[in-house]
Amino acid sequence: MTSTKSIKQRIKSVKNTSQITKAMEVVSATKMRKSQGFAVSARPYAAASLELMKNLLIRTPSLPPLLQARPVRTSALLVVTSDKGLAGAFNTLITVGKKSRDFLERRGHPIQDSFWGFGDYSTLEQTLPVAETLLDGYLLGAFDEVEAVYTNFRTTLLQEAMLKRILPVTKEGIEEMVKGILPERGRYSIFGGDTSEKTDEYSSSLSRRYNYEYKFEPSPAEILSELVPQLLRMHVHHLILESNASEHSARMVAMKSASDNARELITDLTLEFNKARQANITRELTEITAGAEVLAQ
Amino acid sequence: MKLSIYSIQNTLFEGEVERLTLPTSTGEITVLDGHIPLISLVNPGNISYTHSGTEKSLKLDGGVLEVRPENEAVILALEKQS
Repeated sequence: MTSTKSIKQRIKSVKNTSQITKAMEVVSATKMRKSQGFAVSARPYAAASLELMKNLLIRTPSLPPLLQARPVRTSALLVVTSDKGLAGAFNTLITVGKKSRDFLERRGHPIQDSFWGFGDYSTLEQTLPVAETLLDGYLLGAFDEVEAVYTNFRTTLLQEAMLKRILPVTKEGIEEMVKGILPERGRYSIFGGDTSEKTDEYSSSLSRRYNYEYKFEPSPAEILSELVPQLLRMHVHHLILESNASEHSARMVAMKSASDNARELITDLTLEFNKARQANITRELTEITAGAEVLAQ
Repeated sequence: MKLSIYSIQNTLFEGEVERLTLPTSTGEITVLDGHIPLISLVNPGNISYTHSGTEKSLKLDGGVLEVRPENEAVILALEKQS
């Protein structure tokens, strides 16, 4: 039987662990909400630039190279993971973080560039180098398409690993991203009221706008070639933010179950401790009464 | 007219303005109510607008201006790599 002292020690260490996991849970929850907020703040820009791009595409026959699909000989894969561990199943779901670099290096895949240390909320300045690398590589012909693996934040409890083609830029791809900016449920979701009516009205106002005669300075093609790299920068930025939010929520869930487990363990251990203590007392009592009886004889 | 200035990370301005002056690829232009629909590249520099009587100015690193037919102007501001 384990001594009461060692059980006590175990209870203490489990308690310490649970304190840490609880703190991490709370921190992750806050960070998750904040990252979501960051992602949402990009929405007006995303929506406006999508409209603008559609508008331009209707009016120009020539496409900038970033929009043109070409035969794929080499493709680049952008893998976005977390920098840190302790997020439950997060990094097994997917593989711009240290974890992916380590993983792929171990497997012997050549890595062209790697970026890490974006922190908990990446700013655009931090994600821009990633987008620039992709843009340069694509324009120079180092690769003919870019696919991104990242974690899509759908709800707090549900994140999905996604594979998406981000280069060449397509209208559909950007459209999907704009729609995907808002999570399905929770504080920032838009699904609540009757949205179908609004979207109808919205699309009719859009089509009316396309019929207007716009004046372009200098030309639709030139404006488009200026706009598209911006869209890609935004896309990459968004992917990383999305993964960030997912990481935090995965960690939050993992830490929550760790705290729950710790609590359960503490209950079990306390029970064991009490039993051991009682057994001790009973044994001591038996010894004393036995001793007293021997003396009385 | 309604003016919105968006950057990728946040909304820089949203509201009613009477006048908007900004440098574009074809020189400095001023947009007033009822301007024809226009899409133009914005050059780096200061843009200024009057919002409820007061003049305000904002420094941009470039971007795209869209003047919509519904008396609405949108500026997609570019953010430079620092």
